[in-house]
Amino acid sequence: MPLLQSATVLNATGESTSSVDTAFKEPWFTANKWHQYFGLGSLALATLTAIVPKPSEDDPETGIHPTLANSAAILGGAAVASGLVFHYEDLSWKNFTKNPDNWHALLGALGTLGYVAAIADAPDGNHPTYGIVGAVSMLAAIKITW
Amino acid sequence: MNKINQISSLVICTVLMTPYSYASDGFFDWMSSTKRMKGIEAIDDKVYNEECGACHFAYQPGLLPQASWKKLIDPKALEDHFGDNAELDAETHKHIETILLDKAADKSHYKRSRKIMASLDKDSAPLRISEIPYIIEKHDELSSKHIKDNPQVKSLSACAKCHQNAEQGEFDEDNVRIPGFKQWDD
Repeated sequence: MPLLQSATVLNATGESTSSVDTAFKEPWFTANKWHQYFGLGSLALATLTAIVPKPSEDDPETGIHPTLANSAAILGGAAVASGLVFHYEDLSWKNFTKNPDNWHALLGALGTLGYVAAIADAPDGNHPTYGIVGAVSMLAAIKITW
Repeated sequence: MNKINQISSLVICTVLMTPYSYASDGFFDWMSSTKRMKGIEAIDDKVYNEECGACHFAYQPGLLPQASWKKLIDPKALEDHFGDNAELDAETHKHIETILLDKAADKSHYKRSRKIMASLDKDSAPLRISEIPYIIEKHDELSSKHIKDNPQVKSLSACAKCHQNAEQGEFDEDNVRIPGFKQWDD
């Protein structure tokens, strides 16, 4: 007898509980998947930002480094926004620290703030610090619900 | 100065993670693993799947806390397992009990097991998965037409009828197909 409370007794005669749709293929593009792609994309772009050559001091706002940084922040913002829209119900105050989605949301938001702070502070010498905080936080956010 | 700032940033991140690490045993093993652990840990054990799956969906141990499984796997309790006799021989009983207790929700780092535990009160030991607040909440938009009155589903207990990858421990909304209905999207 199933552990889930059943309205109808199932499988007492050995009926299969296997999936009815053997041809099922997980869709590539859903709201959940877009949220995932935004988060992973922002982390990948933040990593690339750290790797690519830095712009010259004469013209710090042009080149691939600031472009990638801006893109990382945009994708991070999109990840936070889509998470709030599609996964708001997964956040809860009950047992706050034990809910992985609470940590996922907090660290994801912190990650995006880190990206934004790095861009706002650039080309000041401290902006890599904010970028690192952002990327590490985003990595932790992803890992927690991976 | 930059280096100091960067190191202090890493320290801040670590501190932020600390409450989470305190909330779980084996945190660093989990942290260093690249394995996908979003659902419930699947059980790749022939005996478990054959014995439990003979009568119903072989519910993964990560769906209930250890205290619940202790009650359910008790030999006396198995004599009346929700109305059926589910007694096991000693060897099989020991084998299944070990899996249930080792991989129970409160021993698991899988996300949905954590969610289940976060939704339960301390020392709570529900005997039915359908009594878990997290499970109730996740199914609260469904009506009888989706399950009870749906001839292809009939019961909430038939996880794999709608969760297409349930046997792999994946219960994502993206994998839900309710027979007779279009793609589920809440």
